[in-house]
Amino acid sequence: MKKRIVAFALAALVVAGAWAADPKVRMAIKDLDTDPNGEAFIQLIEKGMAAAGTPVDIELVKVPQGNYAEKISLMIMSGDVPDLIYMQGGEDNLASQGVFEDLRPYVAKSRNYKALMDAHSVQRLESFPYITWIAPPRVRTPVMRRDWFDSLPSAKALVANPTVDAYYALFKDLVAKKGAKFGITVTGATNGYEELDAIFDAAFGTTSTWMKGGDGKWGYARVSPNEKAKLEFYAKLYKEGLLDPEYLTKKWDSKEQAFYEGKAGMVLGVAPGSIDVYNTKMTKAQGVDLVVLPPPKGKAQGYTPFVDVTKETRGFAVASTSKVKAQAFAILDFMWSPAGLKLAKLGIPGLHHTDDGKQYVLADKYGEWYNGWFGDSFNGFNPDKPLSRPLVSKTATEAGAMAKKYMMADKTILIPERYIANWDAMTNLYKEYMADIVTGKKPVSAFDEFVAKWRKAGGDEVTKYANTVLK
Amino acid sequence: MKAKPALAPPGARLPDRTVLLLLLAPALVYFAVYHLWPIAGMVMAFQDYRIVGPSRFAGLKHFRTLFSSPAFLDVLRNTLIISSMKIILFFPLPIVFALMVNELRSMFLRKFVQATAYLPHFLSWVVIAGVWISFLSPGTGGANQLRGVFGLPPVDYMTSKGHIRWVLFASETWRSMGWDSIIYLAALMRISPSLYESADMDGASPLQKMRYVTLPELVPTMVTVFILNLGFFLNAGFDQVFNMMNDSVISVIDILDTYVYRIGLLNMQYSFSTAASLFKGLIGLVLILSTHAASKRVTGKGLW
Repeated sequence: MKKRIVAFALAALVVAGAWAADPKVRMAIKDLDTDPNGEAFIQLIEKGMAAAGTPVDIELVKVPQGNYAEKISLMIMSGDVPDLIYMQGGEDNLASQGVFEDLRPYVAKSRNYKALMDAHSVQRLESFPYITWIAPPRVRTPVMRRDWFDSLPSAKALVANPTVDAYYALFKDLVAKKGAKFGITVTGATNGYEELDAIFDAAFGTTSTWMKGGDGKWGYARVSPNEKAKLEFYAKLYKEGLLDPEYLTKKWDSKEQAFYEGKAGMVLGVAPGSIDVYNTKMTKAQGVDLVVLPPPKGKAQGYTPFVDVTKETRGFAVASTSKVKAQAFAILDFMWSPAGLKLAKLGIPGLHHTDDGKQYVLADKYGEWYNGWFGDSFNGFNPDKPLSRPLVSKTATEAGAMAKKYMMADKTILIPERYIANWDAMTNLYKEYMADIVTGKKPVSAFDEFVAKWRKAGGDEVTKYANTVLK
Repeated sequence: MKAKPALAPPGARLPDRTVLLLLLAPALVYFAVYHLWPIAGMVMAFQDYRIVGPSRFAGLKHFRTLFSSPAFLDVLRNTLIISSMKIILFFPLPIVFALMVNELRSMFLRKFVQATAYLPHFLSWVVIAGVWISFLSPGTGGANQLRGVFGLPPVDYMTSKGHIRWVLFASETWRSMGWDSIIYLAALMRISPSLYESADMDGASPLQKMRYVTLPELVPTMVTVFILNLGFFLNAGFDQVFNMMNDSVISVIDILDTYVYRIGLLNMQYSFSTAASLFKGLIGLVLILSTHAASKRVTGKGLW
């Protein structure tokens, strides 16, 4: 009898303990599981949330090494769905299977999150309510080193009156007067010509993925006459050695290296994050910072990639199968509260920053801290004490402002499953023709041949579909 | 007199057998978990796979999509060409290399050559691609500087449709020739010295010894390796192609594996990619069985 009572008491204790335990939220974030400070960060989040009256027990899910978007999608497809998931591709397919929760009610009820969303984030959540992210639009801006900018009249002329011709003149000067091997380098890793397009698309008239023609019908921008004129210009840059002749095989690191070593006069980076990295590295390599250049005027003026307002391209999702949906979203809400933002943006106290009573002193190790785990935006970040130095460089801040000023909202569609194989073939056809035209393996007139093949490979069918979707 | 059995009666050998079975168990478990069990997953090729709720039976829909895709024939053609180059043209190279290494009398030189030849096998394709892109660079690469010595204009091998498949072949040879020669070196070690002694007594020249002793003794190994390689005929080398591909050469080196990766993994069409993998596996199986049968008929040797 005594034994039974003891056993019952123990069982009651276990049940009570379980009852009292904080709700467990399984969370997957790219690279946080392998970050040396990941666990400490999670513990501080738990501590902060407990203090805020929303205690949770966070389990950081280990994601297999490799391409995150691919691995997390495979993990989810195999049935292992964390409660809170950072997504970076493939979310539309998963959402169509009902894996993700509609986040609009959670955002609407949030204490901090909703107030800090930019207009484009609100619009994206409205049209695709399964992932959310608070970050500036991912737009690329061109940069060049300040000492070369200061000594080249063509660079100043470009800022005063940015045109395609002004860019061409600057590329020529960078090679002729500054000893750069080529005016600009890009990496072949960016889906065709995304980096060059970031500067020149709008000037040649391409302002969104799908554009309305004179007949009132939507057409794919990459098969338009604007594209042909733009490619002719790229081919000219290549022929004259102003565009890196090895850009097709350039990787991210070799592209950056060419810039820091003075072989390339100009590169592009996503503002403000990548520009900040480029600025820091250039300051280290050459002792100079960078200058952000405006996009050229022409038929239009703007930077790309076009800002797709149909959905976020990355962000957090909550699993529809989760038993702790509210608690999972509460983590996001907390991270955008003043306490959460301080933690996210300043890093681990004592390691990445210290508080000397008057200000937050950013440590040398702060450079190793990624302050965008929960979103790259600094919206709402108003520390209660001044910082010993700015979190991002002046150049990066300028790049961010330019990106906001010159971003272009996209008009695009999600390619339905039935067209995916054809779309893949059409995209490859585009990439190969473009590469051959720019590098002079094919004449510019081959563009018309490309358009005919593109239409035959399924372009007509997708265009017809696009016209039923786009308004 | 009763002949002595090769093995003692089963009962008497039971403890030894248990030990042997235990030693074999990890390998059996490995094959069961990683090779047998996933075969069941092939059912996805005939379904519209769903995470939430039951998957729907789709019949041959994904196979039809695969075969009617505008890229499929190009991708299949590229796979066959690159695989043929790698299997047929590459096949004799490790054998020749092994024969040459076997002829080296200096142990130091032999070890040096072997170590140098094995080394690239341990490099990942990311690294190898970087090395080859740099080596073949039209501006600063060693290959084009050598051409320059002879007054030849530079060639951008990596973006040339006419050269890129040979770049794949050459880099594969550089990476694998040494490593793949190990099995032939092991087979060469097993050849009985008495055969060479007899050939010496008959006055055979070194070339005749190679022709009439060494090569015939290597045939079983060659046949086995060739048949097993054919099983991977449609595996033209995802990592290699993926790391060496660029926009200019997509149409000539886009292979089944890169195609399946893009459509299946990047676009999350898992059922479609399973159908493509099943197709690849079936072709491999047919090739193995038919080559085995042909080899049995012609040489009397096969896989079993």
